[in-house]
Amino acid sequence: MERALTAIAAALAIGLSALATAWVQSRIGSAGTGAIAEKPELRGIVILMLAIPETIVILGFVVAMLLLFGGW
Amino acid sequence: MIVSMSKVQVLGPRRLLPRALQVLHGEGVLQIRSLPDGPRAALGGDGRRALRVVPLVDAERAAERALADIAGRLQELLVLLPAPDRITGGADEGLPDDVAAPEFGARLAPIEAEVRAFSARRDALQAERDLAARYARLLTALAPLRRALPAGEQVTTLGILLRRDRAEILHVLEREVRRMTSGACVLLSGNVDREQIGVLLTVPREAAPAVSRFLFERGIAEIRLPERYTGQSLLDALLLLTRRSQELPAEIREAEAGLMAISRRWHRPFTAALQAARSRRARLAAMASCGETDHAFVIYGWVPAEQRVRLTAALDAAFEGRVMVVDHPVSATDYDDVPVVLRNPPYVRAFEPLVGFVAWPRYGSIDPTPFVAGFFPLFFGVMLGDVGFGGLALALTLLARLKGWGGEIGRQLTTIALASSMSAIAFGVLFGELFGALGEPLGLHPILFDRRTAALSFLAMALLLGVCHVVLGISLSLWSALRHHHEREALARAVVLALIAAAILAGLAHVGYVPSTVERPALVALALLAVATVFLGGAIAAIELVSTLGNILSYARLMALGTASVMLAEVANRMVEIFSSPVVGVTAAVTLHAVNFAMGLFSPTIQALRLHYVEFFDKFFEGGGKPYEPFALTNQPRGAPA
Repeated sequence: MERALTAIAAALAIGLSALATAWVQSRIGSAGTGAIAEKPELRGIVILMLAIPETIVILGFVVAMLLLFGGW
Repeated sequence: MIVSMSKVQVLGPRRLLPRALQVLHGEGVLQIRSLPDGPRAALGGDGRRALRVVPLVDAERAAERALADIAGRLQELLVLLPAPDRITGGADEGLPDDVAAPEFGARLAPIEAEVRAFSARRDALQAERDLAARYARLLTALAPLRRALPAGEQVTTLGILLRRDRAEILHVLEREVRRMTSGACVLLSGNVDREQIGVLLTVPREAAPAVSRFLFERGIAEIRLPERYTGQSLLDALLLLTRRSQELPAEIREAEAGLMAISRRWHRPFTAALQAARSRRARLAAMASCGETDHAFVIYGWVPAEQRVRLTAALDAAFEGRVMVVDHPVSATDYDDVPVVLRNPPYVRAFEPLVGFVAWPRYGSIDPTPFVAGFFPLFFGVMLGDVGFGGLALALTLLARLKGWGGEIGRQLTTIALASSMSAIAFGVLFGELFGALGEPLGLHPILFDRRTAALSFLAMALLLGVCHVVLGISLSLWSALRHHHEREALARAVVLALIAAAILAGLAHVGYVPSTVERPALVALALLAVATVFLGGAIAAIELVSTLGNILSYARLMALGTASVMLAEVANRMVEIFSSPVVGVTAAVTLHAVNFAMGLFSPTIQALRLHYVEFFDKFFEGGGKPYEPFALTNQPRGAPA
């Protein structure tokens, strides 16, 4: 039972953070594409902006790994 | 490394200014800057020593206009002419030396007319050929309908193309045209291909303009034929067009041969004349940035410090000491204006575009390129970390380099790819991976750890790399602050570094890597240093501390992507066992490995860049630098990113 709950917790940690990242990236992506269409020189900044929210899912992944393999 | 620049003033007798600009243009090392306001005010007044911007006299203005005109015409000619397959003419073919002279324009005019005539003929023939090809199927579809149409001079036949999925428009169209012509119209249609329907619409001649206008307003494509077919019925014109398509290739070749003959004779002289016109225009434009008094001229500019002696020597040789170069100290207030030249070894230079992708470093700041050249392949290797994938990437890179794909930019990219793929192979050996665990039977075993099982060790390694990278960034910031004598900022950076060291020490003591007696003093030091950080940097410093912790944790992505890569490879290898048919299993495995390889090239590149741009650059990088664009015969900025 405890193992199942740990697995669900890990899945929630990665799943919810992935959803959050996807939502944020969709907003930044659409706005960024518009910005690049207007000013192509902004592409570097837009890629940077797009990569920033990925930290959320990375941290979710780390929490999931700690739950599964960290003995917590 | 950012090359040291000299702020210089070139001074000399006023009458020597045009010749001095010519010498400077030839040397191509001085970036001329506009006349600063300061010296004008300093010399001040309306006296003979007052410094003013060099005004262009009427003759120079006229020459400027003539040069602009000639350069435009020559450029247009060179666009119209094909690249010559061989040269048949001389270097100048008797063109006047002075490109701004009216004689030059007059000599150019007949050649221009000839080139335009050939070019226009070729374009018209090509358009006709394209049209013939486009309407060949249309003709096949519409020809059988021809007999059913009324003929005579009192009627006009219009051709229309409709998409088959919009066929319902036909009924509306027929009703509307019938209304416009009081029923005096015939509409016939046939399928042209799987996408289009061809329609022939015969209407009274006087109603044709109104029907055409109606079609245009409704966005319905009417078949337009070249002018030479005017006066012929649509179907006759289409038949003629198809017959013409047999003759057109030879006529096009004839027009192209005419252009090539002109190009063989004139391409070289025109290129030289265009270069001469551009050079003279550049020198005239540069005059607007020069200053003069009644007797002297002055040019302000930037020159790489190492080129300063060469510049002086060139001016001395040309003017025997009558034109001199005066140095001015470069102060911190100038840094925003100083152009930036980067000088790095060839391997590191390949990474300059990655830095330029975000911003060009500001003069007086630190060039991050050598650090990117070191850490980018390292991070890429940690994430991909597979001998097989690394070997494939290396093979592709070598192929691209051998074939010379992408020119100079391609060469720079392959240098980055070469370093990254070799790093992936090296880490593949350390992790014992060859397309996942396929290397085990070949004796390839993990040296460092097995990424499939040692998740926490991999996480620790990723975070350790993060600490090293972030600490390097803060150390560079500390060094920069010390160099610019910002003592308080330097102290704040030093305290942050000490704080990170205390935190690492406390962590190591807690997990037993160092004696536990160290833990308490380390924690006390940590608390004191945190207070000191806030004291030195205010509330912002506290936020920065939390942000630094976030930056370090962000390097966990190295482990995340690495684990995902090895797990996907593992899943691909198990495909052979899952499927009963070995062929299906191997196909599925190869497909999955291919997907993993493609993702393995793309994701680590983006993530490694992100770690540099967001986590590393944030600590010390100062952007906003301007690339060095010297006043040179070629307009290529030296030291600018490709």
